Amino acid sequence: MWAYAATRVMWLIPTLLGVSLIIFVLLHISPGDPATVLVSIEAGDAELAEARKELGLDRALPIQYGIWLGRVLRGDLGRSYARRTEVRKDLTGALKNTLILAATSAILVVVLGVALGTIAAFSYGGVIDRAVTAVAIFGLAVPSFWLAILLIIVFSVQATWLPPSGIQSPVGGGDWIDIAKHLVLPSIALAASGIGVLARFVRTSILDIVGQEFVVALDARGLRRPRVIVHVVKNAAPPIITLVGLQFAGLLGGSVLVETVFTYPGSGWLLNLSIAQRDSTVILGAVLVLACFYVLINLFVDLSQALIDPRIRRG
Amino acid sequence: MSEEIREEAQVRSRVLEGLDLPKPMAYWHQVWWRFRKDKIGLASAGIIVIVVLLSVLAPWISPYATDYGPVSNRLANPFSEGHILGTDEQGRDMVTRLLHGGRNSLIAGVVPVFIAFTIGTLLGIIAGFAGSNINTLIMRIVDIFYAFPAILLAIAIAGALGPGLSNTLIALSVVYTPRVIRIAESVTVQAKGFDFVEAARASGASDIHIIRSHILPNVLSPVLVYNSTLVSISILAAAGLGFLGLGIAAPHAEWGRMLNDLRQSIYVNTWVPILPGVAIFITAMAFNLVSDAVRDAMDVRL
Repeated sequence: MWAYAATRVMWLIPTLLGVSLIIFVLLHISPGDPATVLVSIEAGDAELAEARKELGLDRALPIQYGIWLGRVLRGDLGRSYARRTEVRKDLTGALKNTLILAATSAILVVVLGVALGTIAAFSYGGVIDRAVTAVAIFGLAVPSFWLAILLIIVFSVQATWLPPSGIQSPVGGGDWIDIAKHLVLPSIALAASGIGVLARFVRTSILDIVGQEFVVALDARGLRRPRVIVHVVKNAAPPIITLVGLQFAGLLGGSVLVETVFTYPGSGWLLNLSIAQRDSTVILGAVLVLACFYVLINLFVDLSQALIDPRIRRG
Repeated sequence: MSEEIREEAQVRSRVLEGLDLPKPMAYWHQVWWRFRKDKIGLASAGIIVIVVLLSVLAPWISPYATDYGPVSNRLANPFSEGHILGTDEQGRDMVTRLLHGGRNSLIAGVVPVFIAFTIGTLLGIIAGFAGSNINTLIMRIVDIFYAFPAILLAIAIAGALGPGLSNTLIALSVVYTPRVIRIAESVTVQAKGFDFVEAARASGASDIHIIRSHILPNVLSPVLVYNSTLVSISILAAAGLGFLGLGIAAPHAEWGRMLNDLRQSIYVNTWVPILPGVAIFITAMAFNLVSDAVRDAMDVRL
């Protein structure tokens, strides 16, 4: 296990370097001169050249990448073109809110996806099974941002049960009940497609395993039903965990769209604002940090999978 | 030797003819035969044909000009006079906007899948067939792209290049090509190990010949099935980019963008703002169900 874990962790280095290289290339081709935000608006050419030199923008491209990477590693993501603020400061608060939303949705996806899928598999062909399949097909095709609008129309405009925007009430809000109320609609909109995908996948995985000979053998030896189910679930788990890991990509990416609809103050909303202002340092800084999160989540998923399935450890 | 084999084959085929057996169906014929029996798949294919026809014919069948809209008639309800689906926040006819939006949404969603299919299959076969260094080079680059959540990578690329239809196409093509490469590569490596490839090589066939007549036919069905599932995902992603303002520019209609422009109006009119989403949903759903049917008909498991 430790050897596998060590190799897997070592792989982080080339992966993260690759991610940073793509972001650097995109920063380079996006319009705008990062030096302009360091000097005052009336600065002359000489001052601008000075600032460019300080940022290393007069050097060869590979050296520029090295300088930029060094800054990023120290937490300096540059400055916003539109607001001249430090990207890192803009991002920290926003990222925290995004992770709260993504984590809430992830719990919904895992709990509901696995539960619905398992129930459907064990009631194969029945009404519940068909209902779960229908929900799964619906979830695959429904745009999260449209579902978000529908939820607002039903629960905030027609029936005024839940708040349509923000993360806390402007007056007298901020306790956890208030925040939880604000999270209900966005997390449902974000989780819907993941629940559908996961439920369908759990269903087929379990049906595949149940049909295998060893399950029949366990049954034949007189094992009790719950013990058999434990064996089935353990064998079905590894591919399901892979899919759960992939669902995080959907949650982190989808939050950009859902946050926009709910004006939820996360990184997605910040991205949307920056897209409107063509503020490429903020856009690419946010994507860089979110991609790094995703890489770490994948590492965690791979390691937990290796814990369950010894075949993966031996590679 | 080969003369004998040929003779034997001729004898056998004559015997089979004499038995008057039904002719074995060609693979694609079989696929069509199985697809035809899938009612949901057929109905969905019908919906796609209708959506595509309406979009292509939009300039000729639209009741109004795309930008015609008296502000006095903003956000009219569906089934109001002269506007079956109502009007948008600028008083423009929704039927007209949705038809024209379909053109741009379909182009933005479907074209990247074609580009990814072409480039991805090519690079995947090269990586799988060449092996060693070329394989490592191509597949490690592919791995890096996998480190990004798809929609975020698309946002990063489109955000760096700026809004517009062609940049949407570039962004989504870059996102989906590595995914196709990965499928094509793994199937190529599998196919390379088959006995008939070994036999072809032993009898002196060139690499090009082996790829064309032995590898490609084996790679094509799984890659086609994968690409068919990509279409609905890509349509949703393209609408998402449009929704964020990264799609085609303002006066042009596009479903994602229309949804974003109209969502401010939900307090005034409930029905009109959800229409572009209905269009995206139905189209994505139809493509999704057709791809399920295609996968079953082609008997491919990914």
